[in-house]
Amino acid sequence: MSVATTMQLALRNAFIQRDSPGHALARDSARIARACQDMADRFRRGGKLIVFGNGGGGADAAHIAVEFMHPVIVGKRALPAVALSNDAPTMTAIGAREGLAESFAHQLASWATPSDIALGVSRDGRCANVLRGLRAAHDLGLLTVALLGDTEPAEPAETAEPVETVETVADHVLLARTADPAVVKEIHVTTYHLLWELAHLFLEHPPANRADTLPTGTRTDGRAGDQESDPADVPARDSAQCSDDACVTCSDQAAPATVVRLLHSGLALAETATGTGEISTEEISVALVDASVGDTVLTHAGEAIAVIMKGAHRGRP
Amino acid sequence: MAVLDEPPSEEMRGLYPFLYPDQARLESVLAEVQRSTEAKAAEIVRLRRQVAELDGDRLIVCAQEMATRFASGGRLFTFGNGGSSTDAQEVATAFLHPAGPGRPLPALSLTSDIAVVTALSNDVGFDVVFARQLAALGRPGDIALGLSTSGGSANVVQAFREASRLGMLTVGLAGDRGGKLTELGLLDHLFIVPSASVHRIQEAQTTLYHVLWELTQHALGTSLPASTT
Repeated sequence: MSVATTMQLALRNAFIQRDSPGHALARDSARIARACQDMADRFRRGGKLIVFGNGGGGADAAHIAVEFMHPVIVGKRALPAVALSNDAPTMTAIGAREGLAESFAHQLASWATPSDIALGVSRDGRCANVLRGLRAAHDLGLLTVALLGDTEPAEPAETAEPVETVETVADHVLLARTADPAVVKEIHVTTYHLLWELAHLFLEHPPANRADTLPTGTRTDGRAGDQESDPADVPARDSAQCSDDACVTCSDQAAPATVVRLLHSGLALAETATGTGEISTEEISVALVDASVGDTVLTHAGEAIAVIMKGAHRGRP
Repeated sequence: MAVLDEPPSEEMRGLYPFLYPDQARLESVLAEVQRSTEAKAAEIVRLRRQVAELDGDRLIVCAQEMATRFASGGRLFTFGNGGSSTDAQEVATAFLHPAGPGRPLPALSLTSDIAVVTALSNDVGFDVVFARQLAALGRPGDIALGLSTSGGSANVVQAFREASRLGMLTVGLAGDRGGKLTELGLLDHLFIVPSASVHRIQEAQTTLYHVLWELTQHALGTSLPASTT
């Protein structure tokens, strides 16, 4: 067979073999939902997300952390997340002295608090340091989530020591339904995009005693919102309903505001709508944007981060 | 009184929904979550098929040209921002240290050296972080592969200008309509994922570069088992 024919065949097979694990993800929706519900609970309690993996799984850990810290969808609240595999000096220091298997467990012991979430990525489910990291996190009381491929478990070694399996250390095991590491990664990317999106959905729909705070019109389509972000999609601040530091409607979240007067030193007076429809005026910083009176800006912790509507559109829905 | 601890039956909740508002709300959120997951899974499967139709033949040509470069000593440099920077790292490690069988090939992600990235950003500007590295490391026989979901990242555009000036093979992965990378008109290969969702674009790009890796290995004559991507 010529190289060209081999490549044609390989191309065809490559795309076909991705269909089945892609569809299988839909069948895991309840499993994913349960994980997100628990993750949202931890974020609500002030917990942070700690992610780790090796090789490409380390790249995934970095992607997951940036996804939560700096969402691509404007107006979504930043959630605290760190990727342990990013720190090359620490990784190599632990690797050289205690061994690679300790690289995540050691960092977790110093960084984690019981309200946190540990998320380990291992495409073949056999990474010793990911399993040890999850074990350490589990013992500390963290919520533990494992993102794995559908690989046959390793042959148990003939030792007296019990073998650590992921089921004993992870509260939630999410599987990509394939053993091919490249396809596992692709399914994982969709899975963690869903984890991010659905964790926000559960954060915005608190389960108990919050009937009066349910925001409406929540977007769950994951569409890019950079330029076309509709201010109506961004929940407004509402201090009246604030009950704790982790309240999603009034903590670290972006909100639209209309500039009514420019002040000295990059400051401005701006009007914001409260959840009850009342207008309140507050001082914000417009130092980072080119804003004029009448413009609608997106504010984050009192700082305007983007002009989302020029003044000419003022008053339009 | 154990009966009080049991969850209310479907019938009870139907009769007295006001007694169980939390339960009803949770169920509606769970139903929405399930619907959302199923919709996203179906969407990315559809998008992958569309990409296979659109880009299949061009992926083969691109892989052949990459293989030619590698065969004559060329190296691969990858770059991108945010989530795409992690893809750049994934591409580099996939070529340099394949997960399964495959010939290791020289590849470097320009996003990993935080000393260089912060030095250039601080001293010159963020737009040059990749271009300056290519100017220093790149040679005419090399390959530049950049990812941008919008196609509009200024530092990715500048990097491609520099790579093109040096005579490197340029491969771009973009989304939506390709943004500035399309307007630039100087890339040897540009693969655009036709979606408005940053998430779906990233997911389909992951498939694109994995298939590109596999086809490059085939073009180099590496024999891969049929089941391996």
